Amino acid sequence: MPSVSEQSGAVPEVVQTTVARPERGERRRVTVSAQDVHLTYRTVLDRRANTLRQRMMRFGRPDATPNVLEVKALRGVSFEVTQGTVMGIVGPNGAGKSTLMRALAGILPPTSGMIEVHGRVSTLLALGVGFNANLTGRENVILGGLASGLSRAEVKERYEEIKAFADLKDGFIDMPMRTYSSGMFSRLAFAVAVHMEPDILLVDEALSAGDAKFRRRASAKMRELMGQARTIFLVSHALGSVVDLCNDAIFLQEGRIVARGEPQQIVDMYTDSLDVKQDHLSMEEL
Amino acid sequence: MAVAQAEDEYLGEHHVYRPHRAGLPPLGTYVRELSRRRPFVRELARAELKAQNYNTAFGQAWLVLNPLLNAAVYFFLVDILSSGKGRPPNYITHLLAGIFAYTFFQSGVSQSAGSVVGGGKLILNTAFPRLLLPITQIVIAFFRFLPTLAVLAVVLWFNNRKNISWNLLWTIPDFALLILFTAGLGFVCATLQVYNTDFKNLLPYLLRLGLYLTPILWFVKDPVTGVVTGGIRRPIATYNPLAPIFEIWSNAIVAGQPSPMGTWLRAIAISVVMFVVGFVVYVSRERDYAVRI
Repeated sequence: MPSVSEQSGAVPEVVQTTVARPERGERRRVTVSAQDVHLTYRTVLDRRANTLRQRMMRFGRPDATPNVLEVKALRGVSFEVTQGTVMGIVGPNGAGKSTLMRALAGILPPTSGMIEVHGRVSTLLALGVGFNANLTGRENVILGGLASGLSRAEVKERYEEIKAFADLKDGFIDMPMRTYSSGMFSRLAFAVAVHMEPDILLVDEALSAGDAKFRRRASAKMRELMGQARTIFLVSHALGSVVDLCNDAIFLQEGRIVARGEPQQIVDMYTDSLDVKQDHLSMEEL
Repeated sequence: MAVAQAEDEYLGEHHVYRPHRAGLPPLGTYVRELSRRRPFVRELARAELKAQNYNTAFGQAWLVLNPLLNAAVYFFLVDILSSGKGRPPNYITHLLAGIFAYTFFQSGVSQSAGSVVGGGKLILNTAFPRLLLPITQIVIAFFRFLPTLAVLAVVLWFNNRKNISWNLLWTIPDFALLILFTAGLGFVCATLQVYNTDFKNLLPYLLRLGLYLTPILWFVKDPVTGVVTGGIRRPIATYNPLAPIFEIWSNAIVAGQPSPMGTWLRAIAISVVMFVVGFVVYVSRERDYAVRI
């Protein structure tokens, strides 16, 4: 493994910054580095085209190939993030924010370029963690922990804390998750993700879950994790949260990093580009 | 530093993600990660079995009842087709032993096939070796197979007591080969289903055809004369990759005899090749699954 200085020196400054990055008093370890990451999906416009039946019907008719749409979700994204950074990612729908998060988590492989991640990653992505609605909350907590690579003992150690944090109404933890409200579902997902003691936490649009009381607790937990010098990536349309929680931010548009810098300035740029005012709707807090 | 690096790799805490067209991931790390997540497989299998109510007495009873009913259907079918010309001795034991093992194979393959497509959210939101999904289904199929062994033991005791011998132990390595073969084919089918969403509609036909082509409803060797059956059955027994495994299975359980070395070698070669092919096909594609489903 190369040393810190080698890593920081080896990567060219590829991020297009229009806003100066905040000065940091100390030089910290690079935890996430993306180098010219491109990610292209090929999606078939007609889902039926991916069937044996359609393939057979097209057989011998080369002109009848299905319409394939090439989506360039990320186009040359490069950045480095050091330990303790809380990185806000803003951008319009379809900018590639969720794709970037999945690429950092190792779920979607880059089409070209390279991503290097040092540390245990925990994800809290838009669609909720891989909960099985037929299983109980307790079983899902255990499975979620084991899937993330924790040992059984480690999961057991954290279970009570997760249960207390999610603060579900009595008995719900032992009920199938299909009986949960969407808020309860998200609360448990959030509780699992933040208690995995990740070095790097990826949060995608999940903080708006739950009631006011839970949001407050979630916000406090995020600050606690920040205090422990964890690296956090936060994708949110609640721009108030980005300004409030993050100490660095990226503005992503059409798969490219348009700007990186102070969260407030990035949010200003983003709202200017959308031609929307920073009112209570766009700046909604956690 | 060397220790730290080894530890990093072991804990999966230093990741480098490059384009997936590179093919297979580093196999050593991949297999270590698989092995480290065994508790996940156990827990997922246990939870799914529980969700399907197989932890209850009636759930267990259904696991036995289902293949028994199947066996009854095929028993009458074969009787009617042969115009009741008398069935070979021990036919019931042979049929039940075969149906029970084939039920394991069938449910292992079909459940594995659906495991990736059915694992949607888990695949989209968590990074882990994807092979864990079909492996879990094989484990589930195995646990669903276990209660049928009790029925088989009873049938053996009442119907075939004279042939019970130490040769029954040959079923253990033979079943291990069946697990390998089932897993390999399950990996291939899971991959096919990701790329062809209607593969699940075709699979039941293939599996039913597989049942008829495997020496379960019929014997490879006549149990009375010991003569290898002729006609179309001979090439089927030669070329069906499942045939040697089920031949060994029937020889050990029904006839209480060991199988010839040639049959064993064929069974071993076929199972190992199927497993390796399935592993390579699945793992070389698995990083594409999140994009596809």
